[in-house]
Amino acid sequence: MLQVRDLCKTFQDHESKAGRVYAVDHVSFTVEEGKFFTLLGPSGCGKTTTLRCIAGLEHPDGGDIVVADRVLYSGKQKVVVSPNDRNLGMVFQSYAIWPHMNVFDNVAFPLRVGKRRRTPKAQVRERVERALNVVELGHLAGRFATKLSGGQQQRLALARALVIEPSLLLLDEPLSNLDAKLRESLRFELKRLQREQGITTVYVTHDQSEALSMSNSVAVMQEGRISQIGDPFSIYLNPENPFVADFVGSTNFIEGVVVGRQDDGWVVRTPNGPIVVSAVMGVQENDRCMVSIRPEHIEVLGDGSDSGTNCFSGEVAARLFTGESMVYRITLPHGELNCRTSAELRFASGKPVTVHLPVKHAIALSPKDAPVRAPEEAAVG
Amino acid sequence: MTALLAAPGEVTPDLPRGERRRRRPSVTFVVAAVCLLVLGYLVLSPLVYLVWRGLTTGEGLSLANIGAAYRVSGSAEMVGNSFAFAFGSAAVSTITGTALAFFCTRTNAPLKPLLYAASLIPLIVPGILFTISWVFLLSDDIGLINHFLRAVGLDFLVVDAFSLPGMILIDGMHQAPLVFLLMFAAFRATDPALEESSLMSGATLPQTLRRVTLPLVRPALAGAVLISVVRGLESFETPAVLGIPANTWVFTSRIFQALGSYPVKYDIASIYSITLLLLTVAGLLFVQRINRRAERYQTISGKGFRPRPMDLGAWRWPVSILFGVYFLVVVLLPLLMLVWMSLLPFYQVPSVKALGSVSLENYTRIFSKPGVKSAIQNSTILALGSATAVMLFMSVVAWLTLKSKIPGRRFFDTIASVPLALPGLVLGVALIFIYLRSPLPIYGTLAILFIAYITRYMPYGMRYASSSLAQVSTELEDSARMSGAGWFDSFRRVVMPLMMPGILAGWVYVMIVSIRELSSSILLYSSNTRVLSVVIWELWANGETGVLAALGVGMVVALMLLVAVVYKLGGRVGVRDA
Ligand SMILES: Nc1ncnc2c1ncn2[C@@H]1O[C@H](COP(=O)(O)OP(=O)(O)OP(=O)(O)O)[C@@H](O)[C@H]1O
Ligand SMILES: [Mg+2]
Repeated sequence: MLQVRDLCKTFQDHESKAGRVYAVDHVSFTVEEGKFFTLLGPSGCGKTTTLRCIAGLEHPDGGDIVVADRVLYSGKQKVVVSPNDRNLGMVFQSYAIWPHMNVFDNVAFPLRVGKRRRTPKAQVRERVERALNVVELGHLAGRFATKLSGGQQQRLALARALVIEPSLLLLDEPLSNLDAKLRESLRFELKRLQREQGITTVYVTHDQSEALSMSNSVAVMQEGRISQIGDPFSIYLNPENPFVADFVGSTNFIEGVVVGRQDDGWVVRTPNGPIVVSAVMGVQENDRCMVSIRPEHIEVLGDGSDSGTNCFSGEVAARLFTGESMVYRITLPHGELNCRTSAELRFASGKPVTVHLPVKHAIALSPKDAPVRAPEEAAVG
Repeated sequence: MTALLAAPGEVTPDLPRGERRRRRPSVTFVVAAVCLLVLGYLVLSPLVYLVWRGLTTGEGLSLANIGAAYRVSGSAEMVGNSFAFAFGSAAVSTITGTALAFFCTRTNAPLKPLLYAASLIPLIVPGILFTISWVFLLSDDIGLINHFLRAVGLDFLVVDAFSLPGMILIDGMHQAPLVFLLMFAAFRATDPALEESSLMSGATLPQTLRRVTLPLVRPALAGAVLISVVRGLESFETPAVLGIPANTWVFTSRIFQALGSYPVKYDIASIYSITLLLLTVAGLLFVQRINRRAERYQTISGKGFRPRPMDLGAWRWPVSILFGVYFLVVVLLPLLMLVWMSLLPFYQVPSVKALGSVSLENYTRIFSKPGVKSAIQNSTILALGSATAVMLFMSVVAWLTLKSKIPGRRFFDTIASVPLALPGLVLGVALIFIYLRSPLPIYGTLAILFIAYITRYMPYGMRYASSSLAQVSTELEDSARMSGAGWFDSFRRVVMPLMMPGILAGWVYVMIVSIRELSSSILLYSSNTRVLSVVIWELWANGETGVLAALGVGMVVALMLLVAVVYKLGGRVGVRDA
């Protein structure tokens, strides 16, 4: 449905030596018909720029963009289709609702300009009403757009994007301007709409839980490049590199060296003793690596209760009650671990405990692209 | 990797052929090219012609004209007068304007609303009317204020309007509102906490003013002084009405005289015009440099601050009286004098006896004067036409500068700002040179006036258009493009309506200044293209002050009504607030 290949976009930057920086650096991905695809990444990683290149609002420096077998942009063939001829729907981060029009006129606008300007009046009315009903704003058609609440504006922007029956829907952080509760409910709403309309969607967000909960597939971006593409489960459970492991959810890193295979896992030597991991990514025997394990996968046990595989003794340095869970920071002989346990389990600060790192949740990653962290958060080593 | 996603290149077949190659230039490009042509023609052609005319004689390129122009007797004195007049009136306007702006923004003095009125109304009153009414307030023999001063024995304060000091005073008062507005903005933009912390450190109020407040606004102040000086150099009305009878010549009046004499002295006019142009350009370039450096001084933070007024204590009332006097002198007296003049068949100093001859006869005589009706018509057509053309054109140019991605887009703004440094009279001279010989037969038609007005007021239109466009988020326009609208549709149906408040404000401004315009019109009108300001000038020259005043009162009232109506409408146009 959508194919993006080797997309590049640079911006002028007087500080860098080359005078230009890559905002999007050889990005490639494919989205199948009717699927929900998400670009996830930290601020400034080039998500919006990628989306705007697909929309035609930015002029890429190279690559190809093909939607439904129609070339919208091709650097080599010198094809540039202007944004108004692309037949794509887009919802902007600020919604971009036109304040000088009412709700109806906002949605009717796309049917009154450009190629669709000859749409008969009756048909305009019918299609606008249908679009407004889909987002449940039918009763507000005559209201002035600026008099809508944030959530209503968001749905209005969606109706305006859907009214042209676009071949592709582009959403740029459409939920980020809303408060937490509304965001949660609109997430389901958006997903339901997308599935019911069967519309292929590219979604941009920096919120990992949004990405994981809504998407058929997720591309994690870092500094203009795609770091990993996969379905939400593989992104979360099998991150291919420390950046993804850390950005999607949070994780503990323990530096070590891969020693060799054992049963169906690998052994990694660390200052705290050997750790058995279920998989290694991009590293081999005798390579330095980072063991990654998520806080919620670590088991915190009473002192001395177990001394089996991947069990280490330590001491509770601090604890944090968050309501649904308890977060412990546990000091090991070398370094610290963050653990998230159920709220019932309570160990006081300073209490000696044993931590168990389940083999199936521990993986070893290449240290190359490890995220840089503040010293006090630095990986356990 | 899921089934959804294929590694690049694995699945996709060769690209289908692009359906449409980009051969024809994009709409934006065409729009930019057209704008550049029009801008270049309007702005550069007068400059080129002026310089070319000044530097050629019958035998070709030469500098002979320069020598000839400055060898005319009295030219040294003229240059001296020009500077004395420009700096003098700048001093008057800067001192009053700055003091008033300070009291208005920073203190709790009462009567502040008077100052807002006082800063707006002189914008509406045409300079020629302002100057003429001052003749009757300040001239040696019939001036009302001088009569009053002599009556109370303050003879030493008497200033004659028809003298250099009189000219300086009157022009300075006319410029003061401009300085007030500039300094008002500057004082508002500095954080009062800086002053408060100086007071908290133990400095007295005068020390704080000298060591904190003034240094902070110094760049703005320097800019205001320079702008006033430039305005003084360009000023035509005061030197023409007051200076010529007093035999006190400056550049503008000399240029006017050179073109009005027989035989016409084109060479002198062009050389003086070039000199004047160089001076104003130098002045404004200097202002620009100051402004750029001033950015370092900017204390405007993201946080909003509410200037907390200083308590003037016992000084509250003296300061308020100052406000009152200013309002009286700058606004009330000239207007009342105009009304008084319009009610008398021939001028008499206001007195109970004179009240006997009051009548409305002058108002009925307005229309019996030949040419007045057509002048009203011409002025209306020109004002409406140039305001609309300037705002439409500048909206597009502002869009090109701020929102388009064409290379060199900043250049548009620069060209559109050049006429700021082009005195009206100089523009008039240049346009005469162009269209006397141009195959385009517009010399002596309204079209030449139209070109002059558009050129002169483009920079102001540009300011209004670009400041309102800057507030329109790009996403609003992007979403129109995504909806399928082409450039023209998205500009007309989304961008323009959102800019409407700014466009409307600029439109009113250009309307007003076009109706007031005298210094270009006086050189470019012909017997059947008189405009109102020219008619007033002629009435003045013929000594028909009664009809002149009646026409002036009518103009001022009409302009004020226009402003009131448009601002009332302005609330309903454009963006509805949530
Ligand atoms: N018009 C521009 N000119 C120069 N640099 C730009 C421009 N637009 C984006 N950039 C740079 O390109 C990079 C990517 O920007 P982009 O807006 O795509 O980030 P993003 O992933 O959408 O971030 P966010 O989550 O904050 O919206 C950033 O470093 C940004 O500074
Ligand atoms: Mg973004």
